[in-house]
Amino acid sequence: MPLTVNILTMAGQIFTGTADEVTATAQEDGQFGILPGHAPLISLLDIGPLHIKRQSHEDLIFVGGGFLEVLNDTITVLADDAEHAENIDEAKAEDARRRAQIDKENATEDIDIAIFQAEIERSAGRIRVAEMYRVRSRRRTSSDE
Amino acid sequence: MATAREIKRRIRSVRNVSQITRALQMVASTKMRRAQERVQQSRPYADELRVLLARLAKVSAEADDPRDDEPDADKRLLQARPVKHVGIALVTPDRGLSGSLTPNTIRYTLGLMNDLQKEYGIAREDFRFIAVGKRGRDFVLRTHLQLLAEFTSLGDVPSSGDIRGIARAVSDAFIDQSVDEWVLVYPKYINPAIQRPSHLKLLPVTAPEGVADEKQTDYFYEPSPAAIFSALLPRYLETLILQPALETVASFYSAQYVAMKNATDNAKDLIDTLTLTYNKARQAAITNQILEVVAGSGDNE
Repeated sequence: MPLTVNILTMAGQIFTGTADEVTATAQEDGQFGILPGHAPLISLLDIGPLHIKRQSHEDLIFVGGGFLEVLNDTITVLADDAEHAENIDEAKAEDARRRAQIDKENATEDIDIAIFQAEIERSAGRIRVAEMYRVRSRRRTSSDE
Repeated sequence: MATAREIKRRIRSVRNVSQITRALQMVASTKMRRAQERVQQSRPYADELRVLLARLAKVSAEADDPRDDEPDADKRLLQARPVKHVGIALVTPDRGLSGSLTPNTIRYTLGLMNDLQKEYGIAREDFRFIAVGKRGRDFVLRTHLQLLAEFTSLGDVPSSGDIRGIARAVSDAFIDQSVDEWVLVYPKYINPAIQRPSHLKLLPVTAPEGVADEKQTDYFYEPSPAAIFSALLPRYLETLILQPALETVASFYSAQYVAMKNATDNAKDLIDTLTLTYNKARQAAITNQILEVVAGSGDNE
């Protein structure tokens, strides 16, 4: 039986569908995979990519931290922020990163610095996932030829 | 009787007003639909988060070490204590032209304050307010209640940064004990015709009901229940604030739509009545003129 995957954010549902394997980025252990029949799990997610494999197809999604729950072959991701890799606007993400960098340098309160630092890491992660997607689709087109 | 020209001027001014109210009505109807969508889109996330929190609250309550006499900040958000000061986060629209939406919300707040005063035996001075939206802030200032903080001009889509700021102000006041219980008052969105002022409890966090009696599943926790719990709590508080904030936007545009539709309809009725009066006045003037002409021609014979 395949996995059922739901990715939710406060702004709505980002992904819903089935998968044979899901790879996510955990906060302490890095990348980990989930196959059908996985034990019930609640995990903290770090900023990073989430791969959803279904037969030969693979969806790549950027997740900006959040929670992942596995129960009875259903994976629910509650993301602080999430976006399909193909939809990421790299220029906009780069812009956001630069702006947060400047804000961070001007910030005086610890809490503000922490917020801008998180923003920098989120934007950087977004750009990384977009690059990952670009590299992958280029490889695919060159292997098709 | 007013002259035909005066009536004509009034008709023109009423027509101008009705054009404005009709434009506002159409804008409100589009924005209402979009706000409604946003409320619905954020619901699955909020519901799932609630379920997750309830499960974790149970686990972390069991894992609670009674010898731990220096509880960390997250644990403190869960602890109920005798209530001496009540905080009210009052969520209202920034703007008016929305019929009785704001007055109803404020009347509801006053009623709630009365109930809480009786329940906890506290006075009017023991309330602390955080105003989200200008209308509520104006009310708090006008009635000389204590305002801790105000968050205005959040726009139609409150940003996560704004919401985080409100959540921080709320939990800070709870942790430094200046407020012992937080409630949030907002105009709940039922449907385009009905908005009902309601309140919900923000702090101390109480595990949502409904999950309590479900069969316990043995989860693996990565890295640990405590770490997940302390990441989850602020998110939970933020959704408790975001959801009402989104509903307030939807309520505002629905109320504005209805108010503007009524105003447009009234203007149309008024124009009809005035047109009738105008025609009568015109007819009377013509009749008068004819009479004068007839009378004048009679003299010449």
